[in-house]
Amino acid sequence: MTALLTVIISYLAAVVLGIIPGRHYRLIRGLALVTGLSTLAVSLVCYGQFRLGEGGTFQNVIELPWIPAIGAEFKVGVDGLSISLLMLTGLVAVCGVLFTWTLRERANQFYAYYFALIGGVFGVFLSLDLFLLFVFYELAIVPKYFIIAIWGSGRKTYAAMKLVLFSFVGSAVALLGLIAIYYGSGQHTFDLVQLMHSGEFSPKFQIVVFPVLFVGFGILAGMWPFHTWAPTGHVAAPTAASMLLAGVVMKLGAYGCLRVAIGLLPEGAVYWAPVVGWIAVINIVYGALIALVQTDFKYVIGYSSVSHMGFVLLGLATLNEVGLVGASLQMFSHGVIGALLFALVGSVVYSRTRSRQLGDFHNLVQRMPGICWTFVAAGLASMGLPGFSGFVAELHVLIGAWNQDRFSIWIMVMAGIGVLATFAYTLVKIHEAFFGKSSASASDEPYAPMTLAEKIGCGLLLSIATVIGIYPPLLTSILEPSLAPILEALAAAGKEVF
Amino acid sequence: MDYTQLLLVTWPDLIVVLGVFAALSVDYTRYKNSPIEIRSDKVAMITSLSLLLALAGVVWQLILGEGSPGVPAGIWEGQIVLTPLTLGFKALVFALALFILQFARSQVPNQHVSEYFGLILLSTLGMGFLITTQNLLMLFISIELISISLYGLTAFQNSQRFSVEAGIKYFAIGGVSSAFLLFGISYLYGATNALAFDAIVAALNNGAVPSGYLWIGSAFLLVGLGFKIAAVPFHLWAPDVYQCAPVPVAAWIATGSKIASFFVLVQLFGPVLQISVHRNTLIIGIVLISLLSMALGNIGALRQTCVKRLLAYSSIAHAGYILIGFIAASREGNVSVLFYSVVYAAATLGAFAIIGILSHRLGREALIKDFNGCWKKNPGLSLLFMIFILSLAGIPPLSGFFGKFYLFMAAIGSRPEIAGWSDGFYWLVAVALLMSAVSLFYYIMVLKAFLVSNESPSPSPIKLSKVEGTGLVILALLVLGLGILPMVLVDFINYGFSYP
Repeated sequence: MTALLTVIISYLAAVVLGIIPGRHYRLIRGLALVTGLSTLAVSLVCYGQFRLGEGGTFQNVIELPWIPAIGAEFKVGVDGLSISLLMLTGLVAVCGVLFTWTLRERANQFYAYYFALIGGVFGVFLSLDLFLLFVFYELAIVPKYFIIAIWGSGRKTYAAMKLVLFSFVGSAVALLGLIAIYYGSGQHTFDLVQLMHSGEFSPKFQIVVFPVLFVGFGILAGMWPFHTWAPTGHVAAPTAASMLLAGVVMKLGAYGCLRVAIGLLPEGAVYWAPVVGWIAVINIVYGALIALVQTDFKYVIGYSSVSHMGFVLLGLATLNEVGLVGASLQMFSHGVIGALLFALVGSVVYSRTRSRQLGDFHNLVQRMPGICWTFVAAGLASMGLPGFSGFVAELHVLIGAWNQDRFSIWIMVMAGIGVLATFAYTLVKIHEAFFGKSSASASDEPYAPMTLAEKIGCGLLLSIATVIGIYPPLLTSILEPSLAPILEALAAAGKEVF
Repeated sequence: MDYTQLLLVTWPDLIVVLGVFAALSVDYTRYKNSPIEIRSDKVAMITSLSLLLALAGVVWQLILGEGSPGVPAGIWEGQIVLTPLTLGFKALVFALALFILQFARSQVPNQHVSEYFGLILLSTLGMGFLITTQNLLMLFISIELISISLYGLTAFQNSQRFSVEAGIKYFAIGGVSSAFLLFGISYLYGATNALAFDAIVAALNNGAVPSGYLWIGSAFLLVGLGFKIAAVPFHLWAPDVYQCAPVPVAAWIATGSKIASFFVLVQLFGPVLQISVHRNTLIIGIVLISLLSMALGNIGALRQTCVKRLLAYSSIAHAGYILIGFIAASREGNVSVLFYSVVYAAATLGAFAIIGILSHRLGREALIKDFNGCWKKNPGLSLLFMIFILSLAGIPPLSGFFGKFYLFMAAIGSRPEIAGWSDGFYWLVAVALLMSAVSLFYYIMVLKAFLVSNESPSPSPIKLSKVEGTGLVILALLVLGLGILPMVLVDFINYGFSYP
């Protein structure tokens, strides 16, 4: 029951906040913060309640009959993987509110959509029934449109529509795969646990259906070449939404790839692993190189998200323990760091400079030193410097990739190039943004320091990234046992295919 | 002939007929010289009351149910058959008509008030008969009753050229479709020597049926019904009629008449598709119709600026989706068709009603941009509109989502094995899903006007009458409730089908 509270609280908040008249924006943002904090608290309680000894099974399960006509149940539960993502979602939800603290325009509607989106995200991570999972997955689509189209900036309606249509097409492709699973299992059920344990999919079926599911979910994970919605969407979105989109929503796709595509169709996963590996390294290198040439600060971060999601995909493609743990860690890590970067660029820096063009920034290191060094820390974390969570995650992924014999050496070379390119764009862009001089505006007047809300938000995200970076067992201890069933299935599948 | 039986079967319908007469006579005697508002109030009250009584009667028959002396199972070779399923859907159509009457009350197009409401009631009667009949002759007569009333209603704004034009267009195309229908009926009769559906099925099961006649009969019947559900290529009337007819009439054509047509399609073709020797050819034909409807409806809707016309194209597309469930030619498929026709009708009715309410004072066709910034003055209506439109777009947890999902599940479930992608109906569902994505685009464009735009709309907030408000909220709850707990309706339809 505990875990389900996250969904219930979010949707309740969406309704309540939507009803309160928009002029009471102080009340609304207060309630929104309370809501975010309580979802975070609930997910932390789930973490505390998690029984490591039974890490391979789902806990906290609730099972209610729902639509027997299509074999769908209302079944939710958590394992280590879902708990880590629940905590991430709660954390980003709280910080999103903090970085939107000054919002007044249609505040009630904003938070109604915001928490409707978050409720859908929580729901996906909790669902143990594929139909239910899909319902939540689609529920999270429409609020995104309104958030971006109403409160966004730039080409917001275009970006919002593009994002929604990509998400929808992705979910439609995934739906096709889910229906195939329903009939292919011969059991006429959507129950994820039952399908994992006793679903008997023929190798041919797996090889055909796996790419459908993986691409379907992968679109939302920013998989090349279907990633184009991500930078435009993230850039046009208001800060809280960019944080959610990059931090959490992209993880929905990766979660679907891992839980559904790999979890249910291990033989298909083994068969397609090299292809996925190639796509993943293209993601990494392509995202990083494009980020290197962007002049809009927010686009830099947008493409860096695509690049970092490549590491998640690469981890998934390794299909071994180290790699999958790395992918899960990277989901969490990029969720935290990506959200932090978007918050800094989209809200903290932008609200002061009123520009996102790198060329317009003048001598920021002296005019906003606190913000500057925060960003440097965040950038280093994103780059994968030891001591931050990004390092641990990427290291796991790369070791996992080494251990995967079926990867060609070129995949590793590409991944190496990707790491270098990440270093390059991070350092170059930090330099351009904060240490560069602009000829256009040569004022040296200092900007206002960070507000309390901003300090709390940045501090929270940065410290989490550091804590995980210094002591990764906080997460790996729950991730490893929970990934074990998937790995067992993969091991069996590996023997069968080869 | 036993007339008590007839009376027992049709007394709810008789109440409706009495209501029509009462409305006409009161309107033309007592309130002859009163202003239109008063007349429409009185007439709407009388007609609503009679319809409410009739609805209560149908529900009463439904509750009494099988075997009770007051409710004969059927009369005269399936002319009228009262099963839980038929009674349930008849009640549903009556209830929808009741909604339509409430929305029509404040939007009477001209001084012919009682005729307007009378025609709506007559078409309702026709739909009730169409749903309860299992006989080809009665089927034809009911369809004519519906159609002729609707032709008149479409052309009701006789001061406006376009309304009349649409009425004539509807009439001409509808007349042709009736000819197809009658022709098909005559061949089917010739082939099977039967008019009642069960007798036709029995004849088909015996196998001694001239194949050519059967083929022509089924194909023509399908074409005739295709006109009624506005499936491509028989859809040409729909955009003009939806756009130019008075809004409540357009809503009525899009909902009541659709439900009744799909119901009879399932009743007649459900069994035929399962056993006919032409099964495969017919299915290929329906697949083509479905593909064309989805493609043309959705792509056509992309370019529309007039909301009603957009909904017309979307209704063509929805006919395409619904036919996917029909193609399954299975019990599950038929259940999904009926389920979707209901949730589609609820959402469409709601959307039309809101457009009618908001655009009534414009005095012209409502364009999408007329609704810009609607959330500022009418937040409640905008929210309700979002619910209806998102249900049409198939977004969970609204019922349109489960409806579509169920249609797709049924279609794939009829041939689930994957040997290649051309096997089964995976490819058809894939097309449908792609088309849903297209439809999401234009639905969101409409919602964008309502909810995103920051322009200030000129009209002041619209005060809903209590009845209208309640009606809309009920519809929205229905749309939401059937999405969260679809089993309520699915179980009922399933139960209805298992009825002997």
